[in-house]
Amino acid sequence: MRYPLFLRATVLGVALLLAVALLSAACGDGDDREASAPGSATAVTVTTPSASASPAASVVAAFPVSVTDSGGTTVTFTEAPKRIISYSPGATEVLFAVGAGGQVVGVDKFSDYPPETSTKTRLEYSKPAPEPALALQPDLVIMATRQEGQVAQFRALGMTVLLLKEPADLAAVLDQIRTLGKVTGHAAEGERIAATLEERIDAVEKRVAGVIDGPLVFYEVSPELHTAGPQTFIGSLLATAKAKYVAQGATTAFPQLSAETIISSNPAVILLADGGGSGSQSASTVIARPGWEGIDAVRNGRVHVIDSNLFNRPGPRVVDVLEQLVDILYPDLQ
Amino acid sequence: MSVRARLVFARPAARPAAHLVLAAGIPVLVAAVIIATSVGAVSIPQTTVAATILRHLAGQGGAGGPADTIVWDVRLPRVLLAGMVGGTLALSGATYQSVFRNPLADPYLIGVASGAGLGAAIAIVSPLPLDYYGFGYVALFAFVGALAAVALTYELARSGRTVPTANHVLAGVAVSAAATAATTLVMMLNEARAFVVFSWLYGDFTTSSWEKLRLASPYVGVSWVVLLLCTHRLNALQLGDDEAATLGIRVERLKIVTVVVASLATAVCVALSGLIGFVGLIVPHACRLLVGPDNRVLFPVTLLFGATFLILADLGARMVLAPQELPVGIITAAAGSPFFLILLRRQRRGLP
Repeated sequence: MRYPLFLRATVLGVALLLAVALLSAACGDGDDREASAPGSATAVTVTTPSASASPAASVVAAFPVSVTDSGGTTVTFTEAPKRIISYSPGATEVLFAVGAGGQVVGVDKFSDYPPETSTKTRLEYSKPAPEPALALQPDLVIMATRQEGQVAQFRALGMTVLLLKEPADLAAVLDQIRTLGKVTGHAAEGERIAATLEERIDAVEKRVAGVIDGPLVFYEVSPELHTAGPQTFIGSLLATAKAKYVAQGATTAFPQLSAETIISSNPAVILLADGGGSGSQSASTVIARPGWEGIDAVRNGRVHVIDSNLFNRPGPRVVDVLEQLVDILYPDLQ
Repeated sequence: MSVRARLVFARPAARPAAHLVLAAGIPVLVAAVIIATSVGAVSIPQTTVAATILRHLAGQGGAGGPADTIVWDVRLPRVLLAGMVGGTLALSGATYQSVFRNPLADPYLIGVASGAGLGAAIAIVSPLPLDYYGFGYVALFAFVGALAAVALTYELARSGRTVPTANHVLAGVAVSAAATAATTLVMMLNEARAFVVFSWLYGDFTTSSWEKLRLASPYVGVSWVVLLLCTHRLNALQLGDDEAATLGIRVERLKIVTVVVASLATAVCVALSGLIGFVGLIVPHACRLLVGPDNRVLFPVTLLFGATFLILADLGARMVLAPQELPVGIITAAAGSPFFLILLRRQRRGLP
């Protein structure tokens, strides 16, 4: 068969385009751009550039500092980073709490606490594009669980990335506060905050030490009756507060329960994470649900709307949440 | 090919206008690449963009600094990958429409999409390291899932040594439904990571890299060559299986080769950029309205315009709400359907 000349030319042109793409791919790819093979345990040492002015007076920690992140990568800092991007609302709170707020240049769109975050450049949270991040010329990028898949991409583009997955329990929150204090040059402040929080956690634990049979809690995430299981941070808070909860045996993070399961388990306390600013549920909507009027929590007026942002965000305010939770669960226990 | 076949197909199929469309395709594509590389969430002067690219092409390496990285390592691979994926999906769609003689056929018809989705979902919820950069486990599982679904569909549809077209399409629907159900189950059982699966399923070019381009180019390039070489035979197939056979075409072999090649190329694209709908369905139809049904012209035109379309759609995805990005599938549907309807109406009035 014969193709017209222009067609053959087109095929040739396309082939050429492809060749150019391949060639430029080969050129643009320096030795330091090696993609890690899947599964290989990567232990890269990343160093921040050290060609700038001396650290601020408040920065006292001894550098270099090396930390191992949640991905098992050891990241070394020769000096305190001055242009930090945080893609994690929890980490953002920690950064501001330890006094590194001035070093932050960009935060994800859910980082809304403290209010000073409003002056920082807003970035995406899910699958953030690298371009706006590069434009900020960061010397440290903090990523969390949701950005895990992009750590290698950002590193390949020359950015120093610390992967700090969302902590699963209170001890892990304290660890992250210490880690972030250390790498930002605010080790003493991080240590001080962690120690204070530890004392408050101890106090709470003492408060509930005598509790043998805590109240049964239903923590409502959505009006479709999704709740929090034991793998979640909420689960660990409830366990610390010695509460039992309806989804205690769940194998998934946020299982959906049937109304009859909840009604028959008869929880003593209902916590609504889908009320207030996060949804339309309240004590009165719960009472109106058919069959719910007989539940102990409803009859005794123990249906509480809680701030789901606080409960979901493992930052320095988690101990506030824990104390608040214990106040709700044990109104008689002081 | 027999003499008779030649006689049948030696008609002056391509209109002069079709040649013009094809000739215009390459400069239009090049213009799209240039525009899409010049514009982004971060404003970089055109002269810097041009200087950066020329310096790299001349082999002088990068100048360093964020502008250099943004233009060369972020934007250009993204634009080229979007073009490669767009062209491949459109070409695969044209192939499926031709082989299955079904105007609703798209590259995802026989299970590629749902198989890839299931593979990716399993990789994402597994303890394997999550990495969208290069060809990580997610892409690998998606690729394997896509091929497994295609093989299963084929095996289910096979009756003896032939694969009746209707069986093939129906088996594809069944396999897709089963794989989609399994994907949903995997997500339900792992809510903590369901969002990650969800955002993967949407498809986007945020995580493009030279690495991905280099990995995909060989497969995709071979598929382009094979499919473009089969256009003449696929023309004959439009007469029907038996008629094509009497023209000396080995119908079953042609179907297998083209479908496998198109599926393989689609699987590579899906593995690297997720599921991007609409391109594979609409672009071939739009091109058909422009240049007519002769596959010898239609396929290269589809390749070029598929690439151009997805590059511009991705540009839209980056720019409409910049710096926030939209899933590119929203743009392909929003921009593609009105354009397609206009073409369709003009065709009815007999204008083009």
